[in-house]
Amino acid sequence: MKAFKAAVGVAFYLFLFIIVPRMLAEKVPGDSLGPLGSTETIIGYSTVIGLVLASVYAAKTLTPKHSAINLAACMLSDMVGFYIFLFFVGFGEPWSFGRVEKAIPLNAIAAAGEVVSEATITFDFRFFVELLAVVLAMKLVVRLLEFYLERVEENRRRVERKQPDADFYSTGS
Amino acid sequence: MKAYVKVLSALVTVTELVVYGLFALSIFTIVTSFAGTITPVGDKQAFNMEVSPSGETVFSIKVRNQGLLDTTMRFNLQLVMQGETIELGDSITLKPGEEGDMKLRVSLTKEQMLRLITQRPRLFIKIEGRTLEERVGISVKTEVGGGQ
Repeated sequence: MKAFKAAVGVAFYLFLFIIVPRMLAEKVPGDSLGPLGSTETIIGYSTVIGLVLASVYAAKTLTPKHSAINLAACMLSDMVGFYIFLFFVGFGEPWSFGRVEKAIPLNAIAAAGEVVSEATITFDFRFFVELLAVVLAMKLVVRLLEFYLERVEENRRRVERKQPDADFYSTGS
Repeated sequence: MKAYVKVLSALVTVTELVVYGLFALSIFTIVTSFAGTITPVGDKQAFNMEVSPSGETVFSIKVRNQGLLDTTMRFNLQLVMQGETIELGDSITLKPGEEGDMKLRVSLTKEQMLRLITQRPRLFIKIEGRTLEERVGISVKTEVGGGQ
């Protein structure tokens, strides 16, 4: 059942981040997605993100919750989610942290007679980046606490397995 | 301990959803306000410039908040002539569904008027829309040259 869940999740991420962008790129004329950058770059980014998310999902689903790999996979998946948000609000520049300036040619207006070369559009979403950074930190703390509790639980189970019920011996002897 | 962690986890998830919801709402508000600002209303142009015989020039721009949050719209104009820069600005805060005008008034002297006609001044326009107590925003700046 776990393997099936992992396979479905991996297929979903690969479809969403690798196949869908390629299908969309075929429908977009030219080789640029405007302020987001060239189609090739976007597809490259989304492929890497898709592969990372698929592997992380598989690791998360297939490993026990008390394992360090599971913890690393959970934390990595949270961080990748934050990175995707940074990528989109930065219009392809994740390290702009939500404040990005883009120059857009205004051909349509220029064609209408007014001479306008280009417009500079500034997007300021730093507030949301800061909020989501706090949320990410909280998520990581929760992951660590959950991992700690799972470890404690697992240790308790292990001790129980090593020391079977005393009544069993008393009735058996 | 386990119950506390579960509550904390639920709290983090809810906070994350609220942040994404607010993000969507603010983008919707700013984009619709921009659309309401740069598009003409009926037979009225969104952007107007009037010059009175006394030499006072009034630039006006109609603003409509078609979003779901309060929006502050700013309109800045910079006229760069040889050796002189004239800067004008106005802002307006609108509740959802409201509309208003931003007006920039400038009185030019005879000399300035003459320079305006003889030289080719550079005109920079900046329109900015901000929401969530001005924490989030989009601004558009462009240079408009005339007479070419």
